[in-house]
Amino acid sequence: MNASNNFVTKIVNQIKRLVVYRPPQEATRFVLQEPKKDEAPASSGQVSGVSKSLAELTKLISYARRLSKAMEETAQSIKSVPIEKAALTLKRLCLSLEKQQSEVTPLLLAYDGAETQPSKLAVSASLAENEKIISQIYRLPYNADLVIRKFSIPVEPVLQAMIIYIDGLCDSKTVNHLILKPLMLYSRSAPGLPDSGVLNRLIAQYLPSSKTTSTVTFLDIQDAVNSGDAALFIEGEAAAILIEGKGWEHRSVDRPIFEQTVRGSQTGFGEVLGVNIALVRSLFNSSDLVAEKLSVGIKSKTACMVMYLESIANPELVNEIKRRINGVETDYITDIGILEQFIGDHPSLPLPTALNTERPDRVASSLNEGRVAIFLDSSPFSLVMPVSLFSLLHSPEDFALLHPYSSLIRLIRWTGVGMALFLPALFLAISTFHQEAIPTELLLSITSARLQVPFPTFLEMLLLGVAFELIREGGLRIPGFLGPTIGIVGGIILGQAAVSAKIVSPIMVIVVAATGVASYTIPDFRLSAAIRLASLALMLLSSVMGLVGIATGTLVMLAVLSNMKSYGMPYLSPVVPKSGAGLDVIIRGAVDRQELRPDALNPKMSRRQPHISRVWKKQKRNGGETN
Amino acid sequence: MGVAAGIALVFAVTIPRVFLSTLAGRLVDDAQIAWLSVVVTSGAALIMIRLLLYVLSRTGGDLIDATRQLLGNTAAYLVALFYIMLFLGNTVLLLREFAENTLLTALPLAEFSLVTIWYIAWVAVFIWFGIEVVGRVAYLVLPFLVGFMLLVIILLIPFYNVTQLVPWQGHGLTLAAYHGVTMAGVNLGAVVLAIYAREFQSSKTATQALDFGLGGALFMKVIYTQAYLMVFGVYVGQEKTLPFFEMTRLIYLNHYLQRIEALMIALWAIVCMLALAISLYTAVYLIARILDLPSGRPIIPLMAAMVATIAMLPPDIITVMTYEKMYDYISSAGVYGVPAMLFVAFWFKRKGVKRCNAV
Repeated sequence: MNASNNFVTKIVNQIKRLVVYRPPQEATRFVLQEPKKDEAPASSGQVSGVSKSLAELTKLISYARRLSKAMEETAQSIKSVPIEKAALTLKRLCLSLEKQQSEVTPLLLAYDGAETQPSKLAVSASLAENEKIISQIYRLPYNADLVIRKFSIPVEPVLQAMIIYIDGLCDSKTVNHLILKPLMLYSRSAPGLPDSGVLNRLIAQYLPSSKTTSTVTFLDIQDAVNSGDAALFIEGEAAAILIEGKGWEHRSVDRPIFEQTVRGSQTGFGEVLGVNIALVRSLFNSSDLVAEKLSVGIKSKTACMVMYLESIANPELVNEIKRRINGVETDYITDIGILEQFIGDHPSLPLPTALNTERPDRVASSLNEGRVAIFLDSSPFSLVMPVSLFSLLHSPEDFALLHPYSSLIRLIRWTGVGMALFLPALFLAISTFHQEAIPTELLLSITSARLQVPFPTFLEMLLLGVAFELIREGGLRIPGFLGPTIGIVGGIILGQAAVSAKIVSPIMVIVVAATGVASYTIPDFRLSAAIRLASLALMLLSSVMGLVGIATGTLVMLAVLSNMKSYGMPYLSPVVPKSGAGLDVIIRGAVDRQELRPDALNPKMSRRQPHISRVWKKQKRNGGETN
Repeated sequence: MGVAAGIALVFAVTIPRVFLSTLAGRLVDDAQIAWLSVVVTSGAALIMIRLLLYVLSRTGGDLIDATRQLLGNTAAYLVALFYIMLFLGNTVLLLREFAENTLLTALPLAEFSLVTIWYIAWVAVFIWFGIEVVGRVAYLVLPFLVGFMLLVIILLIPFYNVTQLVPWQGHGLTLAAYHGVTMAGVNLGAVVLAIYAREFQSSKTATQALDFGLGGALFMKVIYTQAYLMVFGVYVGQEKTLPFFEMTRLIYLNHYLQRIEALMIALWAIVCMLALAISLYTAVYLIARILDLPSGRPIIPLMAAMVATIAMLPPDIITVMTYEKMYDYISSAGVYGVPAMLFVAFWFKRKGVKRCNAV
C-alpha cells in the first residue's frame, strides 16, 4: 500500500492543512536583472541575411506601389487635362521614380551595414521612406515630442513635403512663420520650380532663415534636429533642408530653488511638461533619448513622460516603471510626489526610493548612467530612479567641483547624517546610563547645568526637539523673507528663555541645535525627514536600554535598509550587495577614472568612457617645453 | 548570497565567544599554549566542513538534501533534529550569557528578565527579514567590528608584557591539541554554510566563505588570546569573568579619551544579536524544512519565547558555563560526526549519486 494514501497520513495531512500557515500568494518582488543577450543588436550572418531580404522586399514593394499609383495618376491626367498641361507634372513624377529606382541598390547596401543604425543611411527621394527611417531613429511612436508635419507646396506642379522638429527644442513660431507660411502661402503665386535644383531654389526664394543648408545624410539631420533645428524633406529630392529654429527655454525659466549650486547649471524645471523635456534634451543631444508619453489619473488624465536613453537603460527597468505607472488607478494625480507613492516599492517607509530633482543637468547625468526619469505635467520636479541611499547624499555640485574637495564635502555630509541620527540618542544613553564614559569635569558641568531642570533628560530632549520642529515648520509656512527671520529669532528667544526659565539645560540646547544643523547638510529633504524620525526612534530605544538600545535600533535599521529595493535595485548598493560603482559612492574619483556605469543598474552598456579618456595626453603637442 | 555575506555569516556566528568567558577558560586549560588549542579547534572545523561542502558540491542541494539522497529520509530527519537541538542550544547559551554580561557591564540596575526578553524580541524582529538580510547586515557591520577589535588591541600596546607568553609550552602541546580537537564544537556555527547551501551562488562561493570567515575568526581569536595573555598573564587572566571588557577598561589615551569600555558595549551587543539571529533562524529554518512548512515565520515568536524561557532557567552564570562546556563537547559531534558520516556514505555511493538542481 502506498504510504501517502494510508489513513494516518490522510489525517496528518488534513491537520496540517488546517494548522499550517500558508503565506499569501503575492507576486514576487521585482529584481533588476542583467539585460537579456538577445536584446543586443543581432550580427550573425543568418539574421543579417533575413533582415537584408526583408528590407529588399519592403523596398521593392514600396517602389511597386508607387509605380502603380504613378501609372494611375498618369492615365487620369492624360484623360482629364490636355497633354501639354499634364506634361510638367508627369515629367516631375518620372524623374522622382527614376531617382527612387536608382536608390534601390545603394540603399540595400547601406541597409546591410546600417541595419541597426538607421542614422547612417542617406536621405531617400521618397517621403514615405524618409518618414520610416525617422521613425526608426527616434523610436516612434514611443517618442512623443518629435513632430512630423506633412504638407503641400502649391507650386506648379504641387510638391509634397514633410518637416520634422522636436517640440520645445525648436521654436514653433519660427516653424510657422518662417518655414510653413512662406512655403504654403507665398509660393502660390510663384512660377513653377525647375526640375533640377529644387532645394536650392526653395532656400533662395522661400526660406528667409539666415542659417539654412541642405544635407544628404540622416546623421546630419538628427544632429540638427536634436539641437533644435527643423529638417524639411521634399518628395522626389534625395536631400533635406536644415533650417535653424532653436528656441528652447533656458535661463529665463528660473533658478532651482531647493538645489542651488555655486558652480554648474543655474536652470531649474518649470511647470510646463514640454519645456522640462526640452531642457533635458538641450543638455543631451542624442536621438536615442526617448521621452515616452503616458497618462495617469482616470479623471485628470495628467500627462506623464518617461525619459530614458534607449541604448543604455535596462529595458526591464523601463518596462517595470511603465507597468507601474499604467497600473495606477486613481481619479487625480496632482503632484509627482503622489505618483511616487503610488509606484514606489516601500510607500509605508519614510525613506525615498527615487531622487526628486528640479535640475535638468542632474536628470541628464542620471540618464547617462542608465537611470529613468519621470516628469509630470504641472510639476516642477522630476523623479529619477532607481537610486541608492548613497546617491541620495550626492549633490549636483559634486560633479562640477574637483574630486578631492567634493569627496571631503560628501564625508562632511555623512558626518551630518551620523550626528543627526546618533547624537541625541548617544547623549541620552551616556548621560543617563553610562556616565563613566564622560570625563569627570564634563560630567560635573553637565550635572550642575541639569541640577535645576525639573524634567528627565529624555523629556527635556523631546521638548526641545519638538520646539525645534515647530520653528522649522513655522519658518517654512510663513511666506517670503519672514520665514528665516522667524526661525532665527524664534530659535534664539525660545532657547534663551527656556534656559533662563530652567526648563532645559544649556548643553541640551547645544545638542539639539547641533543635531538640527547636521540634518540640514542632507541634500534630500525627504531623507532628512526620515533620518529625524529614525533619530527619534533611537532616542526612545536609548532611553530604555542605553547603548544596548542604540545597538538594537541600529541593527534593525540596517536590516530594513538591506531589505529595501528601489525599483528592483538594492537600496544599499553598491555596498550591499557589493557591485561595481565607478568610483562614485562616498569618495568620488577623478572624472577620467569613472569609466564604468553603476553595475547595480545593469545597463545595456557598462562602459561610459574608454580606459584612456584624456586622449590629448597621448597626442603629440606643438611647442611647449622640450626635454 | 555571495562570498561577502557568507564570510560575514560565518564570522559573526563564530566570533562572539571572544566577548564572553572563553578566553579565560582557555588559559585555565592550556595556559600559554592556548593559541594552539584555538588553531586546532578552528583547523579541525575547517577541514570537516570543507569535507561536507565537497560532498554537497557533488550531490547538489543543501545538507538535508544530501543526507536524504545518501542516507535516506529518516537519517535526514535525525540530522536535522540534531542540528536544530545544537543551534537552539547555542541560542539559549548565548542569550543567557550576553544578558548576564549586559547586567554586569552596561545596565547594572536593569531587570534580568527584561534584558533577556529585549534581546530575543528584537532578534525575532530581525530574523523576520530572512537569512539573506541577516547576512547583508553582518557584512555591513563586519568592517566596523574588525576595525574596533583591532583598535582595542592597538590601544592596549602600553600594557603588553611579552614575558607573560613564556613558558610557551603552557600545560603541554599534546594537551592543547587534545583540547583543540575536543572543543571543535565552538565553531559549529560554520555549518550554516552547508545548511543554506542552496542560497549560495555556487559551491565555490560557500567554500570561499568558509575559508575566509573561519580563517578571519581564527586570526582574531589567536590575536585576542595572545593579547589577553600579555596583558594579564595566566594566573590573573584565569580569574576574569569578562576578558574583553576587562581589557577595554584598561585603555587610557588621555584625559578626554578614557573608559571606552562603555562605548564598546554597543559593539558586542551588535555581535551578540547577530550571532543569536543566525543561530535562531537556522533552527527555525531546519524545523520548517523537516516539517515541509511553506514558511518558518509563524514559528519565530514561538521559538523565541521558548528560547527565552529556557535561558532564564539556570540559577546562575556558573551553571550556564558548565552547560556550555558540555555543549561544546556535544556540538563537536556536529562538526565531526555528520560530515564524516556523509563523506563515507558519498564515498561508497559515489557512482550512483546524481546532482540535485542547486549548488
